[in-house]
Amino acid sequence: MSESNAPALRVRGLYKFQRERSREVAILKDISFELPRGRFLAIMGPSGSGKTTLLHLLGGLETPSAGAVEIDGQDLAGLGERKRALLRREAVGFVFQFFHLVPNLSVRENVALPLRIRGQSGRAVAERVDALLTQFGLTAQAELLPPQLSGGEMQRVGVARAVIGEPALLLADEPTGNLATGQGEEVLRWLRRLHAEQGQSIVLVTHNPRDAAYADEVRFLVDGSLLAEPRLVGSDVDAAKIHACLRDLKI
Amino acid sequence: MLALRLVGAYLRAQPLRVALAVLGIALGVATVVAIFTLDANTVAARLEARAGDEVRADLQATLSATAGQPDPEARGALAALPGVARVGTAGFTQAEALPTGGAGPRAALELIGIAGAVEAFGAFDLVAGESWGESWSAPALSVPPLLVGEELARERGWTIGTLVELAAPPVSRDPLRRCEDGRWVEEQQASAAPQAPPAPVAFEVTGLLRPFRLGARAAGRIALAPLDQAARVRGVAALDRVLWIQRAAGVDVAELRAAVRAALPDAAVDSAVTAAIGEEPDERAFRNGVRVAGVLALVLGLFVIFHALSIALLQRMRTIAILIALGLTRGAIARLFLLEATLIAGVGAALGALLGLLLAKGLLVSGLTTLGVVEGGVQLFVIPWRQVLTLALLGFALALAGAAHPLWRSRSWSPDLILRTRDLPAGRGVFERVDLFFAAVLLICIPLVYFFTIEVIGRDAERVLVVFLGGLAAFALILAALHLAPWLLGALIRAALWPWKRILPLETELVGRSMAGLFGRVVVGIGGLALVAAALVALRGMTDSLRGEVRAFADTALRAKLFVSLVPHDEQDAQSIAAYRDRPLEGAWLRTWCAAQPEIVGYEIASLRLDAPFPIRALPPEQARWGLLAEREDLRARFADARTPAMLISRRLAAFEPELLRRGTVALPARTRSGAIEVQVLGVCDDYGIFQTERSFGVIAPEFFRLFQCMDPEQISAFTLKLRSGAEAGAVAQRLERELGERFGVRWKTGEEKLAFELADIDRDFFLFDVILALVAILAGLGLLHSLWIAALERMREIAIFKAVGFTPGQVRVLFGLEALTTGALGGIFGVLLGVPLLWLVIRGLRALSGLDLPFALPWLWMAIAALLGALLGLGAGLLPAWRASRLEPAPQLRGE
Repeated sequence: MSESNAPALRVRGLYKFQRERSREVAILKDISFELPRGRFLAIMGPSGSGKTTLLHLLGGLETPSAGAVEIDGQDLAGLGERKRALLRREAVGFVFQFFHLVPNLSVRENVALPLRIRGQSGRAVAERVDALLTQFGLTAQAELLPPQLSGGEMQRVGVARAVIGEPALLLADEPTGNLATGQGEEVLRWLRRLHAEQGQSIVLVTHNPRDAAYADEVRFLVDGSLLAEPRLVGSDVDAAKIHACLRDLKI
Repeated sequence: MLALRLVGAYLRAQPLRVALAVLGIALGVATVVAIFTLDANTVAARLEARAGDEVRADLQATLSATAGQPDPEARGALAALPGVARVGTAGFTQAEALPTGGAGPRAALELIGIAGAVEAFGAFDLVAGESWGESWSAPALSVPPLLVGEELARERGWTIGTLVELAAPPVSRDPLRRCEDGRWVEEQQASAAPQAPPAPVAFEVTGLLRPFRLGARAAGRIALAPLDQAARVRGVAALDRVLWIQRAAGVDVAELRAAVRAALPDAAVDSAVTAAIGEEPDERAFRNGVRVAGVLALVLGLFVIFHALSIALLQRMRTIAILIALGLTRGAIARLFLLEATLIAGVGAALGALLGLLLAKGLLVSGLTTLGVVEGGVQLFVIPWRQVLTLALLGFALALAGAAHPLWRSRSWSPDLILRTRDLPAGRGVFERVDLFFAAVLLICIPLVYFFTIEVIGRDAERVLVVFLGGLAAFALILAALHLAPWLLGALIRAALWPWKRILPLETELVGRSMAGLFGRVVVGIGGLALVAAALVALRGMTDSLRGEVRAFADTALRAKLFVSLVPHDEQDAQSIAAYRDRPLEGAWLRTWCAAQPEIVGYEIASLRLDAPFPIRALPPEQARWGLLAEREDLRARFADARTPAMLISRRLAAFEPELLRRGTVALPARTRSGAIEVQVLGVCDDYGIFQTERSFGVIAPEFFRLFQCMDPEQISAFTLKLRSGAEAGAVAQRLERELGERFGVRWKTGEEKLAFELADIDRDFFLFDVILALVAILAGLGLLHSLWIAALERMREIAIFKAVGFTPGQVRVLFGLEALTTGALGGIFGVLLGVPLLWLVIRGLRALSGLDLPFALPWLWMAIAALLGALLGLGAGLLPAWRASRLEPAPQLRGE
């Protein structure tokens, strides 16, 4: 059940093993943290550190080998696949590195998808979609199909789709990984702006210090473990300090 | 080695896909193999059943000694007919062998004179010596040859080279009698002056006959001589004879029979002999129909293999991209896939051949043949290896052809794109055109393969071709229309999805979008199911039409009738049989009894019958108080005029032999001096004449039988009673049994019972089609299953996105289920649309082939069932892909694994 005072996300003792040949290999080890409501957390780590797997576990797309994930006070472990899907549709928004737009739906339809899945339709949805398209500067592309868009436009559609349902938790997986620097910064500015305006809780996983610098807090994931230190919070979060931490961690 | 390892690893990793691919090709091959094996065994079993006493000819013409042209003119006339390959004559008479050396008893024997290709018809078999071939011309002073039965030779001590004298019997055991004015008159009495018996004729024994066919006649006391020499023994110009005719390849038996009848108007021409089994027009239609259904199964089997191989390629796009990146050539990749296709197609074709043989055996044991149902089943089982291997190879080759297209398509893939974006190339689906390729194979190759590799029976090829190509053309038209006008398909899909729009708005929209975007795959999915639905409509429409025709026939020919046969009380007991034979039912009794029964309108006499040139039964004119003769007094008067006989013929006979109506007369064999009598054909009706199941018949007054056949119309053993409408036939029969039960065993059947039997017979005969249809439906379902599976594979990323944004597994299942259901429903509807013209073509062809006045009516119930079947098949085929898609783990897809 949802607890009004519960953090947006609570993770306890999270493990994920993967079988490789005859032995189990730990992808993630004993991950525990809490994300207070309205917090923008960036998790940094090199390639193969388990960032994407962690994000998928947080969104209930994968099930952990051990440990618990609570979204808005609701423990995912107790939920079947259907219930997890229902929770995801109400409370979670995903932004993917590879955009993952539905290729045969137009921009407008891709953005509207989460609301349509919730069973909403009609004028209210159309107005909300139009508002978001205007906000994201996608009005001119509204009727285009994803293959007709640039990378930056696709990712803006991805973000618009992630936020249209006003989910409590936004999970962004390397959202700038496939974008040119300018396009990437534009997308992050949008995320930051949404965070400021709507107070959404965001978990961003990235290996780019410039991206992480948009967050309220930066933590580091190395070899499947979330390090207690270094941990940058508030005014400590800036690109230079993140670079320094990475240097110290030899990443 | 690398290719083998890669293929082996993939086949082991995907057992279900491999099993379904093998099953597809195996079921396709199995169905055609089963059909052709079944057909071969059907004919072989009939041949075996008749092998003991029948000569292997296509037609036989029977001529009395005094009728028609003598041999060799008659034989020459037949040999000159187009389409006749071979003719042989056998003339039958009695003779006696004189004792060798002048002492001892004479030996009675049957003497058969032969001329022409009798030996080539398998009419006899020699255990020793030799025959004289097709013609024996007597050199001066030479002794004519004689083939004698082994038994006769042993009794008489004859060997090869023995000189034998044959003579006519001094007192004929079977005197040459003629029917004059209803009385038997012996030929000798009719002659102006008694003739001296002919001189004995000397023969030299040149061969000994095995007791087989002609050699088995007269318990082996048989001798075969040149035809003219046999006639010389009897001192006559000609004997009662049979002319055997073998047609050239591809000649239609029915057409040849008509030509033979025209050439020898005095002969009774019959095709019910061994080589013509299954070659009557309606039998041919049935057999060809079964074959066409078999080809349909093969087509759908290929549909499965095409998709299965496409799936194999799709599932390994990344592997292929990596291999290309590592330097493997596209040629090497092509070899890899060909190796896999060879393995799957080889195993599938071999398994299919085996399954087909087992299926054929099972069908034969349960009595299902390509000529209808055989009670007690068929125990014979021969394997037509040539056909089985041809069909298995055909399936194998076409399956390999199926591998070619995905490989060709894969040339356009960019490994860079696949490796970089971890996604499929954008567009309408990688395998969009595999369906178009398949459709091209379907429309071009299959008819060619069918008509060039598989013998079409008889000259119905044109009619079968019309039906087959007509069906394919309609199918192609639908496919082309949908392909060329995607908006039409889009509109149809929207219409089919409309009922769901209110309760499943998003799913409906997504399915509509997905289907319209992959219209090639959807069109062929629809096409596969449409074929099944169309086959169901055409088949059921045809059986409905046949049933309708039988009912219409029954209304005039069977309703309110009671068919009665009188038999001995104990048919095994000689005394009982003798009593029955000595005291048949008197016509006077039947007349009196019928007149006293208020329910009886009149009767026909079934036991007065003539079998050549077609079945003819007797109808007493004064009893014909119903039907055409009751309505037309002028016809009845003409019918009753016994001196210049006239007859009515059935509608089917009139359809089969339009010549009868055109000429207005027919020569019927008669036992008179002339040997034949010209009979006027008065009209066509089915009111009278039916007794058993044969529908080509005529009826004539009993006086014809008395005057020209010397049969006694007052002796009756089988008759048909015509009852008033609403009369209780069973009550009449019971009364009859009470009256006659002491003298005879009374067997009776009502017209309604006969009708029920005929209707059940149609169902039994066409049950084989139901079996084939079920196989075809499974194949179409498998094809659609593969097609949807491809759709699922192509859309894995999309499904993962849906799941990421909150789709439940149930909603994913609904997506696929709805797509499958919509495809199925459209397939069903198009099948119905296709089935109606196909039914029209089938009925049109059957009318021409069977001579039946088949009604064309839309089988509404079956049209509804076919549409529903399409939807259900679609839904069934969608279950597995839907289940698998719903179980998809989204995370690996989103990570790009």
